[in-house]
Amino acid sequence: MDEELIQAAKAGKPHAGAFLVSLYGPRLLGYCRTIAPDLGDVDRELICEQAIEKACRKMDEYDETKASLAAWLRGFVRYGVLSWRRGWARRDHEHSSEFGSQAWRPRPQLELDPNDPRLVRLAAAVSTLPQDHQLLIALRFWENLPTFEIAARLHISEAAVRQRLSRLTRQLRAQVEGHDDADIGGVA
Amino acid sequence: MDHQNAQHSFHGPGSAEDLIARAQNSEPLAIALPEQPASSQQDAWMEAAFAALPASSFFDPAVLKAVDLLMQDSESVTVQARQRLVGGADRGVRWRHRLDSHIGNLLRDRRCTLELSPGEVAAKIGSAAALIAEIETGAKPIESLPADLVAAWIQLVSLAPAVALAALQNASVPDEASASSLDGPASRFTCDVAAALGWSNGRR
Repeated sequence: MDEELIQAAKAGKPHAGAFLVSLYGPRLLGYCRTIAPDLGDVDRELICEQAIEKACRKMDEYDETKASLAAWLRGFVRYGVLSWRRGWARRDHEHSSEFGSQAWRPRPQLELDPNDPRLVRLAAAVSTLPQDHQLLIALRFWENLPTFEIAARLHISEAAVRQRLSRLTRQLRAQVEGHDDADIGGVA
Repeated sequence: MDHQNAQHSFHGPGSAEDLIARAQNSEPLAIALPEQPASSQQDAWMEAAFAALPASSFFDPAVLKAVDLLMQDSESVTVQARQRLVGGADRGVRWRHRLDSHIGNLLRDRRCTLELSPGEVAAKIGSAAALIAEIETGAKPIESLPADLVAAWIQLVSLAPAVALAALQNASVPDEASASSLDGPASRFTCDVAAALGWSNGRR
């Protein structure tokens, strides 16, 4: 089914759009709600609409040996949510600078240079982790699931998830920064 | 959720299902950790780092499969939401369809058929090789060249004028996916190229 969809989208067949939405629309909207429950329905729909458009444009870049089509499509939704949050943070910053707002704001979104050498070290460090540790890291930082969602899916307590993730992120940061114990607060 | 079924159907050591079961059965570790500011910063760095990483190739394939089994989120789609999603998908698909008839692709295909290099094309029409290559790949718009040079390029590689002008017309009215003739409103640039080719209103 995926192969037929991919070929139709690559060839620009008119039916490919509706076909893709029928197969993946509900899953992408559901995923968007999971990783961005704070957004309204209209914003989530806009993010998914743009994600699907970009995915169709870039369909020839999809490599089935690297990820399933579902996983590849989720990446566009993740990117959309991230862009939305970065845009929101910029607008909010401008607004608060202008009006001195003290209202609650979500955590500022960091943006790393794709050429940052620490990224290569991080990828190498993750690849050496045991599978079950990789799974936790993938769910939390690749799929952007909150800890309570990971706990629900693995049927374990959220406390256990947070404790394991805390240990793993400390270990990974130590490897990335090239010393034994990462300076937890020293994030660039 | 599908993964609830998955935990009852083991597919051997190392499989995605086995991995999920192992993650579920790991010892439940004690006390809840209150979220610390430093931990929050740590998470922000990790989130940014994974967002900047180019591919998921560093995860074990079984891990990626397990993630897929666990990521079965789904929700009903309203008629309005479906229309928006289909609209986005259709725009993307139309964009791909236009790519097949993109003027740069057409010119490159003809050049390759004639076994000419971008440098040879550039020398013969009086342009720069780098610009020719950039236009072919779409990195620069065709309008980066004067209309008379574009016409010379079209003639040099023997691209049929009707095909070339239709491609230029498509590029000038991007939302008209079916625009394939010069019967519609042509861009000024397309008209200039047509004139340089000796065409008027789409006909010689």
